[in-house]
Amino acid sequence: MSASNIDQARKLLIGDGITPLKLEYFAIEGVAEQVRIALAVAEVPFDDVRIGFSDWAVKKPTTKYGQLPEMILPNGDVITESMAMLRLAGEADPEGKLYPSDMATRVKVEGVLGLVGDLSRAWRPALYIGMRPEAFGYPTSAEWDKEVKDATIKKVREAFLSNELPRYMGCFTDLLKESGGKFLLGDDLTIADIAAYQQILYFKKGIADYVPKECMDPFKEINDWMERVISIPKIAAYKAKAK
Amino acid sequence: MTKFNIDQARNLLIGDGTTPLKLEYFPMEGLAERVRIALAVADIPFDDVRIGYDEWSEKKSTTRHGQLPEMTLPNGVVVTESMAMLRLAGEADPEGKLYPSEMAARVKVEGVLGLVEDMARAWRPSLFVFHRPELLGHPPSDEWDNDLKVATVKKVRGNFVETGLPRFMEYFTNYIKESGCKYLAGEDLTIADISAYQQISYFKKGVADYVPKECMDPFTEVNKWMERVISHPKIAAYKASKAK
Repeated sequence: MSASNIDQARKLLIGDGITPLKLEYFAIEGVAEQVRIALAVAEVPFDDVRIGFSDWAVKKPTTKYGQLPEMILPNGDVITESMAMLRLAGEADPEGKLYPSDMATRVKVEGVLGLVGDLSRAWRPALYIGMRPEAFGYPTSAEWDKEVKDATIKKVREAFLSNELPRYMGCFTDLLKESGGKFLLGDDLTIADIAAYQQILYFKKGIADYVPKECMDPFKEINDWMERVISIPKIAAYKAKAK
Repeated sequence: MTKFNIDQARNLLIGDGTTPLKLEYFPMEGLAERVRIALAVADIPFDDVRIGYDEWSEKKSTTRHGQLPEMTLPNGVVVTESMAMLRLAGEADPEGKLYPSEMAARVKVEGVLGLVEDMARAWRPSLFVFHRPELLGHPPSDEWDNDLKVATVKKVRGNFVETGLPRFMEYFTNYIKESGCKYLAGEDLTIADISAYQQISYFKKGVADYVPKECMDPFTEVNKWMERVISHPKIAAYKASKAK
């Protein structure tokens, strides 16, 4: 059964080995990086195609749902949705560990994936209020008084840092303590670790105004786990190559 | 292989049959209804426990992550996240159709599940601007000038009805047509249909201010698909059993 899942997934992703898998996304980590990492760990070669932001207007109408990433299988099928791609890449792990087919373990992986989704959802207003304020009932960036805009962004982001970030880091820390292992579910890396890593890494980058990279300093177990994730040989090799 | 998945899932959800599965959530459809429906279609009995809002503050600290729903398996293991529960219930379908293990079919189901989440995400600001405006940086409801609040809610929701809703209905219509006008991921009902049905049927209820139920009228194929979903014998039976 497990072998059959792996075989099916690898067949879809590799085919006869002539046409490589293609993953198309913007020239950023975003929601595609977790897929790239999973493919690297599962040893599935792929064309890592980056679409420039200036090319997006032309590219967009050719996509199935006006979104990236898109993954084109060797057989020509187009897959949408980064989480669908992440699961497929996980299924293809030759060691059967990234997305175990043992149902009790898989349910736990799905539980952590859901938690990562919750964190992403909690952050989203704070992210988009800077990028697309009109989505939340504010004037567009061009029309919004700059001081009022900055003050509102600051308020929303600081509320996230005070309330949501510690809450979610508490949940992930609990998972690490419960797992008794190196990763979120135990001793083996799963796609749950990869998804969580990418989401949490964002907050260490200090990219968003009013969200300094130091905001992650208090969370020791999380930081230690992130070091372990990034030190996995296949992941370290992928990151070194991706520069 | 299909049968192996099904057996594992049913074993987790039913055990030896002495302790029933327990699903705890608030007294509403919300995120749990898709799980309840999937369990019904998969013929999995469960205690449908409703936690009253007045009980929530006490209950919350006993939950794993301060959230509902929670699903307690017969073996005592607690499952969190409604979408993890939905997938598990799907795996348990004796006919192997709700969440097919054939990889290409499963990838398609996952693609539709992702699209449903994209739609929920697109709607969320409209939900929050009314119910929890402070999450979006607006004053809390009891402090926000009512005229200003009404104008903002109308604008955000109006924008969704005008652009967001038609865009997603076009994508779902594409899926329906691809399947030969059966279900979203193919000829058989899957958890993708159940999840999408719950998300989309919300807009036919007219429960959200400035989002009249008529907003769904133009989307013929989606409406026909919704009829097919709700007429599925096990779903019709489940809905009838709930009607008081």
